[in-house]
Amino acid sequence: MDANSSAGPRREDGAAVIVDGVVKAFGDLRALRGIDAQIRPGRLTGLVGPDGAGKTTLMRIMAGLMTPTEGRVSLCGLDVSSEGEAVHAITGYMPQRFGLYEDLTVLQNMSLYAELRGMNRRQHSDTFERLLDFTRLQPFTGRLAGKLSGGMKQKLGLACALMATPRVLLLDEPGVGVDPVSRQDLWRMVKALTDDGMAVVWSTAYLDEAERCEHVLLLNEGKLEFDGPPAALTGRLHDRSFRIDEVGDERRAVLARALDLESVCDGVIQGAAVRVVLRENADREPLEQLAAEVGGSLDAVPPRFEDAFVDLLGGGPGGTSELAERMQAVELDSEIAVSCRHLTKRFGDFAATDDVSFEVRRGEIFGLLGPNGAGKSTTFKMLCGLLTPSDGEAHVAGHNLRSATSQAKRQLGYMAQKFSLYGLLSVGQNLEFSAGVYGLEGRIKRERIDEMIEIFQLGPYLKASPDSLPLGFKQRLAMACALMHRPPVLFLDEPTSGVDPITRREFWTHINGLVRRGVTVMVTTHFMDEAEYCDRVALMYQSRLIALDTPDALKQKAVTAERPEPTMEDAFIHLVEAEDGDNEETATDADPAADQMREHAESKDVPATAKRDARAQEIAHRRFDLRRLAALVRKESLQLVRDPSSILIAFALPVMLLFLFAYAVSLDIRQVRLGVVLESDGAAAHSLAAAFSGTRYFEVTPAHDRREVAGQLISGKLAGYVVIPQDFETRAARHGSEPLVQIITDGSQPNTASFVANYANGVLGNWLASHAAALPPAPRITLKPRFWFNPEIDTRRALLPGAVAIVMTIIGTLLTALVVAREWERGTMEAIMSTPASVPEILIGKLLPYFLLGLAATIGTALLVILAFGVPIRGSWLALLAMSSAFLVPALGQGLLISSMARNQFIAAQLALLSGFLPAFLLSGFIYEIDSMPLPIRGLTHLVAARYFIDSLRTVFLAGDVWPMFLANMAAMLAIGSVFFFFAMRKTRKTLDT
Amino acid sequence: MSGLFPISRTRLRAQIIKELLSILRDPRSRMVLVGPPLMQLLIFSFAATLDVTNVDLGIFNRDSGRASQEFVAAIAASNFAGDLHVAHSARELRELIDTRQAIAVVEIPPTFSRDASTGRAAVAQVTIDGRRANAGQLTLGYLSAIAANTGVQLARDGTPMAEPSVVRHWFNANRIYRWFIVPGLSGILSTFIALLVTALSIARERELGTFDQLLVSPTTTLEIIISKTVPALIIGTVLGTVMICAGIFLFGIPFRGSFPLLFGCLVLFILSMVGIGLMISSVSSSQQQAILGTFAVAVPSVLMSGFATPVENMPVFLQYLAQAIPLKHFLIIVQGSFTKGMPLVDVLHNTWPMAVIAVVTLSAAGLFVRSKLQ
Repeated sequence: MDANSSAGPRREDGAAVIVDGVVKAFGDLRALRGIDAQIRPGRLTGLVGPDGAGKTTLMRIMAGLMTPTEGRVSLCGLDVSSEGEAVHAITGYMPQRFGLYEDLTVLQNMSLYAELRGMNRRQHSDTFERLLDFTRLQPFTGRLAGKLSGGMKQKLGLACALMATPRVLLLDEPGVGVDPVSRQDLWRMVKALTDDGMAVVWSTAYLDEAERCEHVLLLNEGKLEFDGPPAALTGRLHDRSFRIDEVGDERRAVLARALDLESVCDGVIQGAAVRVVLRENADREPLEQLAAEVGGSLDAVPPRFEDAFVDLLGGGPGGTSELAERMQAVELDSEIAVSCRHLTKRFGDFAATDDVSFEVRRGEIFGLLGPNGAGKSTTFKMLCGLLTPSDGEAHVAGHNLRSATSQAKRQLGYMAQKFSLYGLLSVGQNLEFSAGVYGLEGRIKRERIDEMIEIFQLGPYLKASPDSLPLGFKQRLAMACALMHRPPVLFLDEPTSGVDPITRREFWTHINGLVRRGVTVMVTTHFMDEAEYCDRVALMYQSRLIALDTPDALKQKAVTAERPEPTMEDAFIHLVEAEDGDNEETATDADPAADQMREHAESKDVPATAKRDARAQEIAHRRFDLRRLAALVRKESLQLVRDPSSILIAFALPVMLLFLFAYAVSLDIRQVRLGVVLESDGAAAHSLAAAFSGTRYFEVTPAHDRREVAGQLISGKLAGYVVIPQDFETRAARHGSEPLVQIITDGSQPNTASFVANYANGVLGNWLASHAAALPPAPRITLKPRFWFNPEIDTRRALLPGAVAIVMTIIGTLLTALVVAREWERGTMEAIMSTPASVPEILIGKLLPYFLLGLAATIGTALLVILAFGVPIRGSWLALLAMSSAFLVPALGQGLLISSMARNQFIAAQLALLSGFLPAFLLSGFIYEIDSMPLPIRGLTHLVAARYFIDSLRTVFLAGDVWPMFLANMAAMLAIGSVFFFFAMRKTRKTLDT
Repeated sequence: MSGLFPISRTRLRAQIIKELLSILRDPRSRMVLVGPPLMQLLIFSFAATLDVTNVDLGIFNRDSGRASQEFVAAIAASNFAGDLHVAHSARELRELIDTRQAIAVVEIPPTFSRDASTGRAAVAQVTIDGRRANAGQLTLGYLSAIAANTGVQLARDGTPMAEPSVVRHWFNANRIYRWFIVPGLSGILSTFIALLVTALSIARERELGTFDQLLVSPTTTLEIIISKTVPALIIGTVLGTVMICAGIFLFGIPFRGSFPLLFGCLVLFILSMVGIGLMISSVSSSQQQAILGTFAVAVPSVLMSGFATPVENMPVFLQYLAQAIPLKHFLIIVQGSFTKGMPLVDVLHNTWPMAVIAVVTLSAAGLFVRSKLQ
């Protein structure tokens, strides 16, 4: 095939995707080191490998979201880096978190993706019906995506990715965090799609999933380790996999001994049996010996993909846990380590855990399983004291969690899925913290920490941040932290989710070792291999306990004629479905929905497909498509309306701010508390004192001694005082050769001090004028002041129009910054970028609703300013809206730039506050006069768009339309805005690449 | 270890160290914490002035006599005026204001000098831009003073004459605005730091899942509250102290009060802010909510604290509300301590409300953390 051709999609029978020498480097880190592979249509290709192997990077490159550093990828004959738009038109991509908008409904999510892919309305209803049927989401179309269970979210994600029937479907870890029942559904759907001729890539860290793929690409540390059907890899292990049956209680010891044998490369527990893989060309003698010694039978079993994988990576860890060796046997008073009776938790009307009772014996591994939303997390949380039960009680190590919480908690260790390490602390500091928080101190603390460092070989990483550690070491650190205080009971919440098999084996080696020392383990998991390690498994479904038995006994229940040796996964599905009472649906292979899908595909003749492709190509090639834009705008508006916090920021905050600016921020001085010290007894002095009391500016405190008032000036009770001296009358008679009164102000409040001095002098001047007898020669020059625009000199009139600008800054910059940052955080940005929508469309689609919201808020605030606070509007509404529109450009642009730089809400908020709100408040002339600032700061204010806006707002409200000034201000705002947009576009384009 | 206040020193120490490290270990977050507040102190202390300097004025002199020339010369020589635009018609004058080239324009009538020389009052018309109400009023004040002075000079022809009053501005004789702004800014910026650090502390741990880890350990609610309080208290107090010292040594503002007393009040003030921050944090389920909550508390606090405009100007019920704002009380203390040398009694009078706020908010935060477990 001619990979250089770029004349549109080609329809060979060859590979759908050709990966040719792809290298991807992030700085020094080489995520992919030269990958060559082909992905064929009509086949399910598994992209398999441990965490950090480079799976997601390769997926993103194939989806055209990232450019490879070296090499090239062609998809249906199109080069993914240079023909991104065309590639997006024929590719479906589901990112790790499904790329759904959680605040939109199922149907709204689907419409969005349909329109982004350029489907017309008539096509919609057909396709929707087909996809809803196919995913069985029909009954939930009106539900918010965020309210769906994990399995349903994943199906919806798939439905969105399948919109417009792509030719290549890329699924990035669709199985993570999804229970076996939902996963089975997904397999069924993918199978139907590949039968239809689609090329499907499924990336996963679960090796049992890999085994079900038709073709596997195995990645490890950025290199392709294996390329072929899974059977080809497992075939190499022929005659090397064995099972030692019937070892029951001894199985953990047997596994440890087996793993310590030279000849054994891997081993796991399977219920009451131990499964072992021999090294290549190894002698089976020692293993037979071991089996004989422990009285078990050694049977050859078919190899699994996981065996081959571990073998390929050089085998798993040994069987001895140094941790367990060092740990003393646990002493626990009671035989029962954990127990709960009639445990119930209600949230409102809904019981998340309903009357659950069980007991966990000392030294037991107890598994808590169940589909998503079955209530196992709630139960688990009550057992370790994170939630208080509504009813019933729970005991840990004999202590009631309700009454003796602290004692109970000291007996338990806890390790969660996300490892719960402090990323902001170094490895050593994390260890110190865990030791301290469990009350270890002095020598014991030092010893325990050193011991953990030694056992887990954390020495070289002590100063590093846990976030930078390889996954395996992160897990070791989490274990070290959870075990530092030697808890007799250990709670594990999905401890190895997404972890590669080698790391998982090391983990279970330690756990098995601990259990042999008498530690009790409670574990929740979605991972069926982990369930095999348990002594007993409790299965929860719809808030109740539906089964509690050993893994083997549970598996036994699922035995059927065609399934003589069911796996744990089979057992799980069987039990859940038995509970549901309808077995027919998935038990039979014939699947009506899948059939329909197939029929649909077959009924289409080739020209129609070609036509459709051509049309999709055409639309994709359009850099700017109004319909896609409309879809994005609709999506954004729906989200906006649905999110109470946006509404709060847009409408409640402005009202509060206006209120504060109207009442709390007033520069008008009224009723300033002034002391008047009347030392003279004369009539003139009395009349002057009365003149001070008579004005509305002062609230006078009369006094006869200046010492009385001096103290009140210090305590802030008075803003100043006037002394009318004893010889006032004689001074007045001397006609101005010496001052008449003394005015003392509180200079620590300079603004108030100025007003006091000015107004006191004013009162004095008036008094002098009206008491001609005391009048000194008239000053010859007087001023006749006139305040334009604001004759009553009401500072509120000057402040309130400016407040509109503050409100707009908050909506424009802060809200936009937060909203776009959230989109990055939730991974929906990635999903949108994998559709044919272009960057300008995405950005404009995102901003248009906020632009309109901004204008609406402007009109709202302006009306409030005019109607409620009585500020006139002398200019035209047209001018007001024109200025507001111009201001929204820099405001939104700044928010966008901030979010594309920060991509995390906290930093985005910080930056918005620092670069948006505070300058708009302090450097815009809103309260503080720009002319009075020092030159460098005056220069800085020219970069603050709010400065021009506030200027224009005041003019529109108080003066009228002054277009020359408006136009100059608009030009300045638009110029600032274009700079922001330029950088925001550039930053967004390459964001995924860095 | 038991009883009413179950506290383990070891557990507490471990948590306090953890909190301090999570704020200070990362050099970037250290910088974000220390850099912007100090930068803001510098920029805003120069930017935020309600005084009027360097404002542009317009003059339309229709008189050519001596009085008008002396008056114009006096205006041009004054230190508050920037550029003096000379207009030649009433329209030009109006445009100067409309387009904001001048904050005020003076129109001198043709009869001005004649009136002045004949002893009648010479009246000049001053038109002020009402859009800039505050600066306009101050400008008018300065212009009036110049007018009066010029009149007196003309009348006495050089022999000085006393003003009818002697004005003394105590504590800050030259009304240097910076002396007012810098102490206030130290309070405001500490408010933001203390609030943000604490408001995010619990919310962040909740988002990352480490809060669960903490709750399954034997640590008590009281310990969690204390351990979240102490680091923010230390950081807020240190930064507050640095800014106060910058006020004394960098800006050369006279400090006449008692430093230990002010320091004690600073600690109490930060404690009350930390209490509010923790209350926000304990009710927020995400960092975004915590940020918005901080915003919703901090902005009104600053506006109503008396920093931008005096509390006495506000309506009475807002004045009562302002009593619940720690910043309002602290501003009185810090400004009093700088230039006024406020005595102990007056300081204490403003201290107890902060203590009450701290006790109430910290207990509420504790209750919220505990009830979130339900």
